[in-house]
Amino acid sequence: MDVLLEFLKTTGFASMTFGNAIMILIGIAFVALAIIKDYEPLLLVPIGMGAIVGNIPVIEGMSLSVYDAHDWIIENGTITYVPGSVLSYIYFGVQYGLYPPLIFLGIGAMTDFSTMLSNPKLVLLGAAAQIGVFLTFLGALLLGFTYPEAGAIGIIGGADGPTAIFLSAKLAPHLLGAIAIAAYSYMALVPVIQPPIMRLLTTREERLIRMKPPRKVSKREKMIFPIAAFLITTLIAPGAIVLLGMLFFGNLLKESLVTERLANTARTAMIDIVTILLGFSVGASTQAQTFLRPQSLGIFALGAASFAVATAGGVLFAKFMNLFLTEKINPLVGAAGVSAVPDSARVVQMVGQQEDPHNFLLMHAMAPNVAGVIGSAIAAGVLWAVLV
Amino acid sequence: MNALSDLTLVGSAAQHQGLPIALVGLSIVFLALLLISVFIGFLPRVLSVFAKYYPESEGGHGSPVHPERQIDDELVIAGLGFVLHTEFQKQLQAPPKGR
Repeated sequence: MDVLLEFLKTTGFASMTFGNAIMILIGIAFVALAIIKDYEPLLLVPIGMGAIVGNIPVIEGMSLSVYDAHDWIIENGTITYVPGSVLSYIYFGVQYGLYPPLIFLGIGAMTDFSTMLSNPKLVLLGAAAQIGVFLTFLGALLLGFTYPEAGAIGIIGGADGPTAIFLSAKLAPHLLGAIAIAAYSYMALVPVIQPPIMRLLTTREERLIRMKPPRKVSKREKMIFPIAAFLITTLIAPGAIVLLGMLFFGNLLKESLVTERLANTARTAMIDIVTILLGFSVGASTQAQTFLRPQSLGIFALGAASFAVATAGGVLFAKFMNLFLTEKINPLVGAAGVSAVPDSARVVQMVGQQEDPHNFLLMHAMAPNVAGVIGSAIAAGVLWAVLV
Repeated sequence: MNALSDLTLVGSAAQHQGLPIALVGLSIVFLALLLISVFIGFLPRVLSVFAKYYPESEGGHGSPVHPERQIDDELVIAGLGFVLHTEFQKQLQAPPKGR
């Protein structure tokens, strides 16, 4: 009977806290949203399941949690190696920034930069949308976050999950769970957040602007672009070497036409494997004691603001550019500078077609969309270099 | 009143270093993407001059058929050949019309 009672004390039921229960419910909610509403299922299912796994109370002394890393214990002149938990080894790739560059490799291998190459001025809309990063950075400072924390929170405005995880692992690892969940949640909510802002900042006449079809881009342009763009961006912002190096490497694998097998692996099996490991371990890191804090509410509020500001920045800059252009840009395309690829481009298409069903803006919107990926990686490199 | 003065102090501290970091950071992002935009704008002109001496071929080095794709093509051809053969056989074995 005593043995049974001792065993019962070690079960998760006995150690469960209110915070753990809430996080398990949040994990279930993520999985439900992914399956029922189709909100970013490739990310919310692993993150949600990870949150459920990570919030089961563990027995003291057993290496089960994602934070139970391996250790060397020196005692009485002897050194003992204590292995870490399985989850901690999976989390290693998040903690040390391995997974985001690998995801960028896959993204580069599946990205077509030809719409950007055919209309270079749309690249600037991707830059304009990064104002969301830096204004959110200032907002986080005003709320009392430290500089590294503010930098990690600001990058949510880049609307790029791997970039947000990469930078928060470097600058504010204790906020990684909240930042990752905020970033991916708001990326899933792009179709909800962006349209009202786009309609508010544009007139009907502007939304009806039709743009010239993009020109055909030669194979040589597509092959030269990744190497040239890498050199330009990383010589200016060396902090972005890892992310942009992998992004453009993946793109070169695709566009060189001689490494189709490698490109295919990068954009299919490899990115899927890394996504599973990253999503699950990030979810497992959102334990109640690290996630359910007042800071997390501030992060979520700032995250929502960052997406709104980034959308407004892109749209307003497009309107500003139109003051000097004879061939006008539809300002809605500016909203696609928020680099939630391809969701924000689809939102531009949807809002444009609500005004004119025969106005096809999707291909034009892809240009600032992919430029925004480059821009957010540069912003992350700059923040990392300045704030580390 | 105290809360307002606290906010002002926090605001000025943030602006003291935060604002320059934000401005410089955004400028660097703009500069990098502007340079990319300019490069992309000039690239077709440079390549058109280059193409006069080294024209871009339609097929090119990069598009030799991958061995696996070659095997797939052979399988397709074999499949089509089998279907044709089967149809011809059926026509040969079918009784002539009108008799």
